[in-house]
Amino acid sequence: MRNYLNAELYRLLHSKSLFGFIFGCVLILFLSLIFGEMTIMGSGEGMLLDIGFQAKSYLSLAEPTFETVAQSCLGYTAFFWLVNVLFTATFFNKEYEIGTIKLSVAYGIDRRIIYFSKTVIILSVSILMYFGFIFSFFVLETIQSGYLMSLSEIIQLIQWTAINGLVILAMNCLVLFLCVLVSNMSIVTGISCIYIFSGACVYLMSWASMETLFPLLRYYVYTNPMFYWMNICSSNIVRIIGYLPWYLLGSTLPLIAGCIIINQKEIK
Amino acid sequence: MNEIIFQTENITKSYKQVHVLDHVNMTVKRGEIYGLIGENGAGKTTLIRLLTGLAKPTSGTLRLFGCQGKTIAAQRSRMGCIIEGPSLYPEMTAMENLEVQRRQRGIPGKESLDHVLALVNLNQAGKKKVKNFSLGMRQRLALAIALLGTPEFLVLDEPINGLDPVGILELRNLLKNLNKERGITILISSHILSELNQLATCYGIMSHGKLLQEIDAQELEKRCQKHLFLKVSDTAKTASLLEVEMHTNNFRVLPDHSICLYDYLEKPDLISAMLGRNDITLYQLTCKGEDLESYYMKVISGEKQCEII
Repeated sequence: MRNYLNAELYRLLHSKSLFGFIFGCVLILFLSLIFGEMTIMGSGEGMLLDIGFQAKSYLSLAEPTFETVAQSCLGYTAFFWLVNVLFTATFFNKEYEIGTIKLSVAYGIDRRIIYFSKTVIILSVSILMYFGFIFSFFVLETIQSGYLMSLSEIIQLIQWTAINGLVILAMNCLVLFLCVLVSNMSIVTGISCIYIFSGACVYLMSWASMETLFPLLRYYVYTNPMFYWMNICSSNIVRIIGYLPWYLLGSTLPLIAGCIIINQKEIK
Repeated sequence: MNEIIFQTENITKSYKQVHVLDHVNMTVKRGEIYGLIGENGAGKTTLIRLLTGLAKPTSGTLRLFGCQGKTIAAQRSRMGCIIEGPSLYPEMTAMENLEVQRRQRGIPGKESLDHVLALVNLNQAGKKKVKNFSLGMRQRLALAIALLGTPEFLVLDEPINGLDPVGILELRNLLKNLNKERGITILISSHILSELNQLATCYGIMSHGKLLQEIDAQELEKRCQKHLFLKVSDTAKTASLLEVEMHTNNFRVLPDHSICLYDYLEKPDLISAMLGRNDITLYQLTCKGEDLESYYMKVISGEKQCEII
């Protein structure tokens, strides 16, 4: 596995996928400078959202607060996940499209090693990029708002970032499962986007009365990463803390299923 | 007796009741250049896909270097292959493509990359990305990748496709050298029978998922040997004159008194002049014999006739 990981790392550094990922993140950063205060998929009463992504809400306040600045740092997660899905689908499925995965299998490399090596690379890059992404916004928002966070506030922000990052990793596990099932970049990206956006739509319509929601729809929301992001990014950790461990644990199931499928599936 | 590198026993591969491979029994021995020939859809690529582990057989046994079942995967590292065309990273250079493969397989030493590139004449490719390569260059790079790690068994699925005549000649010479000097066993599938004719030491003829015949080059040559077919008025005198005047005894007299002469194939006029000088009437003088293509068509049509019956 070490050899294959080494090769995947080399391939990552020479591929367009990583460049595209970095470019996408920089583009989001750049666009945030153009657009001022905005609410990206949110709902609630008052200045601060109850759920959703809110950027630069401190611009409407006399004094910026930790919550407004922190939410602004995390708010662009609403765009980050899309770039991440594109990276995951491209990096994994490219080898199927150009046929190089055939060589790896033909030379006797275990398919599970191939799958897990790619998974490790993708998850590692995703979490590192996400932390880099949030750190960049932390610097930007600190400069724009003029609010200097205390050490405890920084630690709080790091914790929220880490939880968001775990949800991103869980999302990637699902995307990887789709990649094994479908082996087509466009279809995987399409299905992932539809799944995540639909989760956001259902939650936005029903967040205030989740207990009365039809059970199937309720569980659809609870298994959707948007449910967690929209609460974490609006500083409402309490609402999701009971469900989060189950969600993270459950995300290992598609990972294991992907491993079983790749071992049996014919490679075309 | 030569070691058996690859062997199948009643290998069958089916997709929804359709037998793509039908009880194929095939043997490739060490040191051979095995030419796998067949029409489109004969099952050549499917057989290669089973060999390389890209697909699993529906039934039957596959042995590679004497191993079968779960132990076969470890033996695949002793192979080099080109499957269904060159598989390359288009955004990388030739050297980078080789480097990825070298790292994947844990082959030590970067010097081996320069060596295989020189072997296929791609050492001048430089920083050119593969997406800008011609088809011939891609085929050569694919071959370079197959040669990484000095494999004992090369499996090449239609490697000649897209190559120009110079490229085909270079590839043929390279494969012959690899086989002769390094003892690499080669399994090569191709439609271009004239090329295989100059390369292979044995042949497997496939059609509609069945391996119709396995035959080595020497046996094939005997069956296809070219000769001058003579029908004359005096067979005994002709035979004597061939020995005395034409200084050859490389001929056979058939039961129907016709003669098969294996010499003077390019100079039938000398034979006809000799017969004329000696007042022997020549009824028929034709050049007969088959090449691989006509032999293959005969084998295939024999199979088709069985299907019609």
